[in-house]
Amino acid sequence: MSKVLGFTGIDDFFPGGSIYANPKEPSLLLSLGRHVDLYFPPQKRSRISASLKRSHINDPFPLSGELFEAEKKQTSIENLPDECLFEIFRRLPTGQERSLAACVSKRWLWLLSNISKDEICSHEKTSYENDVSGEEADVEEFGGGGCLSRDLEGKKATDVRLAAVAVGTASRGGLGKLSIRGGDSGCAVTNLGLRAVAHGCPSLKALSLWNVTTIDDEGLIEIASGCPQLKKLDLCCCPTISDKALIAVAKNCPNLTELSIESCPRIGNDGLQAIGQFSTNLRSLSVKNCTHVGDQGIASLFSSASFLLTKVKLEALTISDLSLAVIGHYGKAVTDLALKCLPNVSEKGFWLMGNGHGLQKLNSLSVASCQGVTDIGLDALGRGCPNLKHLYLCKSAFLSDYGLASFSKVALSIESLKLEECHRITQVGFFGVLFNCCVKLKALALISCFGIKAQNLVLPSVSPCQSLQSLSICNCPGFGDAAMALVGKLCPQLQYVELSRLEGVTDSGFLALLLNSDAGLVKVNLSQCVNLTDKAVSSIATKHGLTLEVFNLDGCKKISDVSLMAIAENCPLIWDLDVSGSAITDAGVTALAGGSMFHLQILSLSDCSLVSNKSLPALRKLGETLLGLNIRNCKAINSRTTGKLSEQLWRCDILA
Amino acid sequence: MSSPVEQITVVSSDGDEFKMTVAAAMQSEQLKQMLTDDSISIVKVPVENISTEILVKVIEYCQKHADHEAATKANGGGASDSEAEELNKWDAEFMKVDVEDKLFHILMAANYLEIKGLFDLACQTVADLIKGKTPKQIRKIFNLKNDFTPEEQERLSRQHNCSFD
Repeated sequence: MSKVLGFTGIDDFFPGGSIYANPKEPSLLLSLGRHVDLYFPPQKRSRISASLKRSHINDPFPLSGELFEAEKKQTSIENLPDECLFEIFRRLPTGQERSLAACVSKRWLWLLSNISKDEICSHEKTSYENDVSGEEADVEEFGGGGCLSRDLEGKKATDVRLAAVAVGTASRGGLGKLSIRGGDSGCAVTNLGLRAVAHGCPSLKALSLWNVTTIDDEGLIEIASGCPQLKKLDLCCCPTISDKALIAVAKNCPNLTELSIESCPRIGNDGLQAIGQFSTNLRSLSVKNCTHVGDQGIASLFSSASFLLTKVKLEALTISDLSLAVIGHYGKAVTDLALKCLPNVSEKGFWLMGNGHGLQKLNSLSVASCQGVTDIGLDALGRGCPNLKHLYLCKSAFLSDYGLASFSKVALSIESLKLEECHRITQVGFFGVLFNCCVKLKALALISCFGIKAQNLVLPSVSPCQSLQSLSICNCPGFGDAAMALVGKLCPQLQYVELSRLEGVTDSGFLALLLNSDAGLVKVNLSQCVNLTDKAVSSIATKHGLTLEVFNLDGCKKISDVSLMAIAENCPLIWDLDVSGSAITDAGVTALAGGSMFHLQILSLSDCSLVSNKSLPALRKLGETLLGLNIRNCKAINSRTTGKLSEQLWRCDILA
Repeated sequence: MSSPVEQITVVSSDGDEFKMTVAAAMQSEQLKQMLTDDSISIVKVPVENISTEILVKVIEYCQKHADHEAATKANGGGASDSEAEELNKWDAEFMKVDVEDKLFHILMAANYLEIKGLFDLACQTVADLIKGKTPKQIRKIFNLKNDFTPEEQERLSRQHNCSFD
């Protein structure tokens, strides 16, 4: 609409009739019906058009009559009420036409975005030369298969953008995935935008709303009714969404397979109950930090959920033993279960869960920060979940060696076990696992378990664990050389070893473990092991050079060029090498380039202050195969060198 | 049912009076309501929003279509193809108005009086005007202002593969 700026005294110079003093701007989406206000009979005019103003900038009161006559041709499509414009837009046959019309003005964009599939007119009565099937196809392609995906974030997430998305994607294959993230600066998306999406994107399959505080239930209910093919819903930090919206989604979107709700304080038991009742295709559920979700919601969901629910994640909820009991009884299809931060769950809950005998298919269990994981609880789980293959326990303060040992005796299928911050576990427990699970256990990891202390252990003679391929011991300061040697004896088939932040282990310990491997090490991570020297690295490189693919020596301050030379000579298969923070110099890098490292793809030399610009030729040579190079904080390499590298190693991603 | 009135009079906003046959008036749902309502005895219907110029056109349309309907009935039901085609041609000619303004006024008049046929026809005509044009051309034809911010414009033109200007 043309606007007249700084104009006064309109009434005075109009030759006939009165003028509308205050023509109303049609507001977005206002259905005006037959409002007479906006109807302008031809001889009445509301204002002088902008073109007039342009030609008479200094003279705001043009008196010439002819000028008025010339300006008489003023179209009033803008004065049509919304419903009339809507009717016109309905008759635009193809998506392309509608997209172009949407670019005309905001009002047109809004109206077009609210046209839903059923409202488009196909031409029945007019005789067309073009094939009718072509036109029907246009109408059918509305919404399409939903192959497009759009992400809106922060300030750019506005209703106008959503309306444009709704109109634009409708004829181009349809919107399949939409994610809206409110940034720190807030998000301008409101229910109107969601309504546009609901009308224009019937093929929407995945919706993700993070931190969007400006919408509420209305918007989500519109989406639920307009997008019945919705499969995935992800709500995070949406304080305005309540059970009402979730119930609508449950009822209208029968294909819902994945639901994730995090930090939505107004979603509670009723919503989950509806999901349990109506979402019969639900396979994956994640509920985190929702204060209103309690036993009733979880219990009703599980007891009515069909046999398709396989992945469950419950975190930071006030649920109690009852919920775990229900899961233990009804979770017949659950394969992956993750429980974190459930302060009201006690030992009894885990005992009931294991004794419910419903978790027959449970493959992977992860429990973190739950005080209820005690010896008894773990034992019950071991007995009750015969197919449990992967177990991860974090911050289980009450779990002792005894519990661990008895679990490893009864858990016959266990293949990988990871313990983090379980401070009651000592070396006894650790070795107990190795003894008892020696048939199937493939991976064992111990992270930050401060209970492990040097002990004089006398081990019974047992056959070594032939199945263990992967071992991780990280940040257990009490782990020393003696324990390493024992582990080495017991685990001859190791291929993937991670021994990081072990300040209590020296060369002899590392070598005792690593040289004992018959299988040939493939991945070795010795990061932050400050006592590691060149001697050990050279031995490892020599012994395992033919199988070694990944070697991580990040933070091993004592490592120098000698190691690099040994690696260059012996390890042709390495594709990922990390020597950050070590004492290597240019000579080492040159040696590396001169070696047989034809597969090297990722090289990290960050924080190596002795590597300088002189390494440029060597790096260039290595760059022939490199995909990633990290030379951050190499103080002796200047930006000119970095620039040259970036130019010449165009295939390589360089971090500098 | 009140005694059948042959003609009714409609008064435009300019004060001019026009006579319309009842059959023609029945094309308009609004007028039809008034005519079939016993409690109102109508002689003159003021249509305050419609000017003389437009009212003339509207009455012409209603008359033509009323005549067509009557002829169809007399022939016993279905309209023949040639008659339907002739009517369509007449409609097309009818919508060729000299000034675009008129087109919108006719549209709004049809909306107000609830004359479905004329309303559909007018909407289709406007849609045909919009069809096949770029946003810039559309804005020029209808004298519209582009109220998108530069970022929004850029987004839209990228998304819709159209050039704004």
